[in-house]
Amino acid sequence: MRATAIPMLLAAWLLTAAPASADSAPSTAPQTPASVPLRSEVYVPAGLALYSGNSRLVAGVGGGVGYRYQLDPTWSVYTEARLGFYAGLSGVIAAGASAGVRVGTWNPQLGVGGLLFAGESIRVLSSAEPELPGRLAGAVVLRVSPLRFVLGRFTASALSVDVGCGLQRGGCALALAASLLETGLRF
Amino acid sequence: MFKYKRSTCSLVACAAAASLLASCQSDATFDDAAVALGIRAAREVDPAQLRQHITKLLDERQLETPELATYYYKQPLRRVRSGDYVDAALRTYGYTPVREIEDANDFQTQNIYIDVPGRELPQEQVLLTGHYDNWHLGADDNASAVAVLLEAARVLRDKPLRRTVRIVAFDREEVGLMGSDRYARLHAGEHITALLNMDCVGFASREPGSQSAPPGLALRSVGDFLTIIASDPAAPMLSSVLKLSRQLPQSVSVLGLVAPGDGHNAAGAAFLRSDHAPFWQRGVPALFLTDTANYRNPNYHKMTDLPQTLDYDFLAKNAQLIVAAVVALAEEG
Repeated sequence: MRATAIPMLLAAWLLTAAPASADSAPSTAPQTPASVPLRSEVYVPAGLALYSGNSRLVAGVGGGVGYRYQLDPTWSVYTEARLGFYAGLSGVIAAGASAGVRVGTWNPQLGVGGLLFAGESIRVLSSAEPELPGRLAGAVVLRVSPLRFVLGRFTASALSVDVGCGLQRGGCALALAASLLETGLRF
Repeated sequence: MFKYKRSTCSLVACAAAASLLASCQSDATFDDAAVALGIRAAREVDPAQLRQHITKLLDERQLETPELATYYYKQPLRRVRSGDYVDAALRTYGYTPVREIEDANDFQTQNIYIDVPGRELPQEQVLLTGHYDNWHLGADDNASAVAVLLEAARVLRDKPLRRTVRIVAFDREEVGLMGSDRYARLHAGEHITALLNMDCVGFASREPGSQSAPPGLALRSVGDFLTIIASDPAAPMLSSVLKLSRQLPQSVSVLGLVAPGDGHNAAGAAFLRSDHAPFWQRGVPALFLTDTANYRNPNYHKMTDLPQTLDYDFLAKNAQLIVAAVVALAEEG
């Protein structure tokens, strides 16, 4: 309960701390010259990752670092890398594109992307499928960031989720990378 | 020990390909001669012998006054007469069992083992193990595995393979893996190339919903399969044994699981509940063979764990696979 309350409080603070009109478009950002749009962003996500299918189970709790580039006021592309600790060391690489709107400091985003899971996992074989699953597993995901906020050079997002289909033999595995809290710096 | 056919693509190349598919795999198989010898040995497994051992073991156990061990809710632990039975049965097959007695921390353990010496690489050992102590009368846990140990000893006598086969009956598994932990420490300098540990290998059910699993792990819902669990170093060995299982005259359905690393982590904790755990910790390539115990068997650690609840056809198929695997592992070029 406490872990999820902190990002919610931070998000609420960001909502109330800045005037709604202060940062309604990149070109009118109050803390930067209007001639220098803040297109790049480095952010730090912290949360969990999960891949659960018939050939493997990967789980990790941890964090990482990401980079987002704003193509225009609506569209952005991103890539990020996370390390998780649970069974051992697991890693997730994400890449994708997303679109968002700006309402004051609120900047919810929706996107599509891919996840690549690596590292320690419980692997599943059988007498019918005796080959060892490889070390890597991929997934196609939908990214939902409903509680993302932008305040000048700073960004914060709570409960951002990548959820989708892990590619595996004979079907689809549950793939999930969730950020309980993500903070970033635009430049 | 195994033949590896590693694909040439590296981790980096795979990532660059962005296929998002798990394409880098290592493959392992036993060589044909080892498989042929293993299958020949498996044909010698006698289901009647397995049943007879279980019946006699439980007859012996009923004559023993148990220890009321505090370790597991003051359950009755029996071990002395089972140990004597194992010793006597091995002697009837012509072996001279070693009883390795250790007294420490108020507990005595008596691990019992015999060797089938290797003809070319006698210093290299393939271990087949299972515990002989039990709560209540323990037909599945673990008379079923003791029966397979003894039947393997019968089949393998006078069959020297390339490596030494050592058959070990551990004491006091039910009291914190005490016997196997002491054995692993005492024999730390020996060259164990493979270890197969059995714990509960005789219970099956064909009822839908009869199989459950640790949280987060989706197994099949019908409990009619043998589960073999490997740590990462034993993963290629597991793949080889699964392939071997398909070549037996009476194939058995097997589910394989590979625990991350040496299994001593959050995800592997559910897989550490038997005598292979001290060997995983020491990096020995070890497999854990089980019917999944309490995840399937409602009689687990209860007075109702009795011979009539076992599936002897399932047990016999498992025994054939285990004997074939031990032979293949010991004979592999």
